[in-house]
Amino acid sequence: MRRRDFLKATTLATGVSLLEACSGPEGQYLVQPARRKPGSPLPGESTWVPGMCQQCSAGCGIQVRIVDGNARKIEGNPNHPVNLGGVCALGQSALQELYNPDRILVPQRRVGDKGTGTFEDTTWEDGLTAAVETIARTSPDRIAIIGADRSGLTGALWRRFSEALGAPAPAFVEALELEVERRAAQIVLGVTDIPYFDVSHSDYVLSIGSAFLDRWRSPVHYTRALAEMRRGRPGRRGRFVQAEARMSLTAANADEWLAVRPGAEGILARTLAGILLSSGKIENDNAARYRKLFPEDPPRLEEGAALCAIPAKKIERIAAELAAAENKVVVAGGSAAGHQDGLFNVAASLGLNVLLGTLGKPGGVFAPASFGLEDGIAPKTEPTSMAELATRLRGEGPAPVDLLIVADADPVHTLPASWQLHATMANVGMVIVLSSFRTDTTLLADLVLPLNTQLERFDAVAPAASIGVPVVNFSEPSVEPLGDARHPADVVLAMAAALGEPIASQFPWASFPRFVEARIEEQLEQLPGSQGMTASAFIRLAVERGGIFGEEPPSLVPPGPLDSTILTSEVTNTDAREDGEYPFLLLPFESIKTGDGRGANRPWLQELPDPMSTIMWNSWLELSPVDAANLGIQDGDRLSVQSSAGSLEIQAVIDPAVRPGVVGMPLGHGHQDYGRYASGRGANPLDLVEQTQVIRTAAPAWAATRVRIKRLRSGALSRFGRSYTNEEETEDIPVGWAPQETSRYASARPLPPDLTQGTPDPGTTELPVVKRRRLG
Amino acid sequence: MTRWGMVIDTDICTGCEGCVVACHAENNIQTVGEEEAAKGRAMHWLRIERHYEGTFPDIKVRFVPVLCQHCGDAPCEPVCPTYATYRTPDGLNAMVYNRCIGTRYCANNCPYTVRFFNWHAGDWPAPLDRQLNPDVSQRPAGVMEKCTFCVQRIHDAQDTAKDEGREVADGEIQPACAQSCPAQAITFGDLNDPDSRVAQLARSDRATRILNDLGTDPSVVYLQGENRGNQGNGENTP
Repeated sequence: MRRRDFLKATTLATGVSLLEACSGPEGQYLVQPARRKPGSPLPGESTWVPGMCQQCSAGCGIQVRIVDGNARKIEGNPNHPVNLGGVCALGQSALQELYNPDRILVPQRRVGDKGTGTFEDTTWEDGLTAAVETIARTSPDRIAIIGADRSGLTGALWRRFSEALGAPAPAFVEALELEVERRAAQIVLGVTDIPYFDVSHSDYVLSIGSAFLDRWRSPVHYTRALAEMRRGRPGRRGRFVQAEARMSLTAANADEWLAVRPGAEGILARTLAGILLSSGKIENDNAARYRKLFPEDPPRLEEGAALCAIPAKKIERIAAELAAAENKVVVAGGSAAGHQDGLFNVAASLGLNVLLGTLGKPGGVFAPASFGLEDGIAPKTEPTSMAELATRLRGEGPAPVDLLIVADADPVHTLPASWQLHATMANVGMVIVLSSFRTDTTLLADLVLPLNTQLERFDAVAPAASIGVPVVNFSEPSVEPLGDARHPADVVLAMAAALGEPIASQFPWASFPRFVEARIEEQLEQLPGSQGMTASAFIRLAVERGGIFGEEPPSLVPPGPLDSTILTSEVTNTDAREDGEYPFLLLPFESIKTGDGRGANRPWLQELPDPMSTIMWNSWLELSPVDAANLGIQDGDRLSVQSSAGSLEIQAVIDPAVRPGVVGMPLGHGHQDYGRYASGRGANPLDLVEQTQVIRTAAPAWAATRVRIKRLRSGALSRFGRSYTNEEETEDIPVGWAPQETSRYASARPLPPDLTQGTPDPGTTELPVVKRRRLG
Repeated sequence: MTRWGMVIDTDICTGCEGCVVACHAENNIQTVGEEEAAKGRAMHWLRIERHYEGTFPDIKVRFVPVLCQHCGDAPCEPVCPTYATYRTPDGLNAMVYNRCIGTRYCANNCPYTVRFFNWHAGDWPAPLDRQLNPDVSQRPAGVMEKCTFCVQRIHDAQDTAKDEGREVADGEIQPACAQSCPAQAITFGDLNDPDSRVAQLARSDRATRILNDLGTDPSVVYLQGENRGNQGNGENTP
């Protein structure tokens, strides 16, 4: 080739590639429009919009950073009483809920076989018409409704809708143990919902089973409360003791962890009560109230210690510490409520508050508070329990179910597989699911109506987990909605209107925002800070603040025990029986990564190392090194886990902090269909959970299943960094502004006096360093 | 002269990892997926180290959030052949992405293992890319990255202060991790200003620095907590 030809060819080629480079995806090069709405932010300018978090029932206040119309970052709202500016991993991942590539953005109609998840796009008009026609022609006793938001305004609308149709009351999907905790709080404290534990002002917090820093009711609020308890009052650091069979994140943060035998949490509480009653440090009134509630004699110390597998001297010391502390509180729930004797466990633990007289005291326990915006909307009939609904679906109720509406929930994934929702839903004539994503439940749907996410909608939510002062969160859309999705309450209102009389007249509101305005208008006078304002002006103000909040500090004193008694039932401690066939007790737990499972479709959370196991992108089974050695299991091995209800495969994590005989497994993994990041990843421990119930409730005993384990083959898990179990490497964190010795693991000690007085100026401090040559 | 620094109170840090996700969101850190993560290529500019001590039931756990310590005498700096990483006058260990040629010497030399290499460019399937922070550049494959103390937030606060004709106030700058922390365990500020909150905390008798005797002179100070965990007072051994 001649030089000239070469130059010609290369010039041509360069020109073509340059042209190609210019004709990239159009959107990438779109110039901002020259005209803007007055008052709207400039291109590239960042604005912060208040909002609310709906990733769990805690109801934190957030603020969202908007640049060029897109949500870029979520921070906490520092003026919100629930979270005071903090925000957890799950809460921040709401951005990846909004912008998830796997969202459903238009209504979907099933075209393939049920369970295959083959849908085609349809319109809201057609979708709603199909839904309304089915409702109109189905006999009301054959309709079943499953919702989320049990205590809020949306839940109230579903309950009202159900009653207007003449259908059985709806069931609500919520944390598995909530029903038990609510019932125990009712009996022992006389309150209607979960009470508030004033951890921040306490000097001694004993938590029995409730992992309140992991997730439980309000993790961000209680994390801050614990920080205040430890370091918020100079010179007064509270002490925190956690009794739990598995070392959760909460137990790891306790000053002392009691590895109580699972199922025997109530016995521990009763043993403590026995010591306290005979200590002479309990007020007579309190002792009498307690004795009325628990008429049996508490177990003797040695007997109780043996049953709950905690040394007697330890129990004795903790009882003495509890009695001596000025402000104290006993928090109860979580896995303690998931055993067959869960109600006794939680009631006996909450009963210690009655005995110690912490009701309504600073640092004690307070009644939940609410503005009652939903009063008068929801009918008086209690919601159906999920267990009862599952019975109806199985055809064991008075009438079979021909129409099932599931709103904003994934019951197929979040409830035990032994309830057979998957199999029974496939037989229901019509299943309508309201959801933002394809889930295990939408797989069985005939019609999927897309829901918008928290950042795209107007909403008013009273957090289910009370912080002792009434809170209603308000938010307006932070961003333009991505698709044609709606708020679940708007779907109820649209269906009610389309059904005609007599139902339509019971829902006289044109939309959910109008409904909220009407509620506010009715109760305006009782709401704080509403003097001389119209309802819409008040709502605007509430949106700007993030909500309406009651006066702090919490002040509602729980009325105390109802006139009933709690007896130790005969099954107590059977959860910890020695069982030859199924030697291990399975403890499922909610991890900070996935919550109840909703976090699994977000890459940030999948790649977040679990703080205890350091596992990423998968689920795992934690077992003690003792059990692992007996079974010849190495870290990362693939295991088969079997219970009488089912089996699954999973990888092993050998965890030195697990009680021998107990295995732990995180909830929220093992989705069949939940987008590219979650589908088919890990396993769901609820596939193993037996169909047993907590005695005297309809709640599942989800922490009472026994399993056997078999090693299949070696495997590996994605972990971040190393975990240190080696004695040599686990000494104190290496330290000091100007250490004298050169040991890598120098122990902690006070700063040298010259530095404690002045400003540390690391630049001028002489350090015994190894001199290295600097380049350049 | 300013020296940006951070104090982390390990007595109230619960290891909830809110800061880790905050860091990902603020700094457009890519997620690499399970296979890459298994090769040790996951990027967490800030990680929570979990340390077990003892054996069951006398076992205790310690959480230590570890990020770039912005060393006063950083081992990563002198080994960089292209001066891609250097110390700024206000005490940041800065990283210039377009100077980096990916030798990874700096990561080799960092005793805190807080530097990460982009084996691939980030993948943000639409519309996930709409969440990206426009203030932080996305890193291409082949360069190192690490904690910047949210330098974009520092510059933003400095610009605002300059526009308003004043100095940056103490506490005005909050890196993403500090702002999100539910326990407010992280404090950021000027270590050289004796009145700043961060300098006051750094004078606490609980203050320590990690691997300080290597002579790295870190700008991150840890406040040690009480001796958590079971007490090991013999109660567990009958």
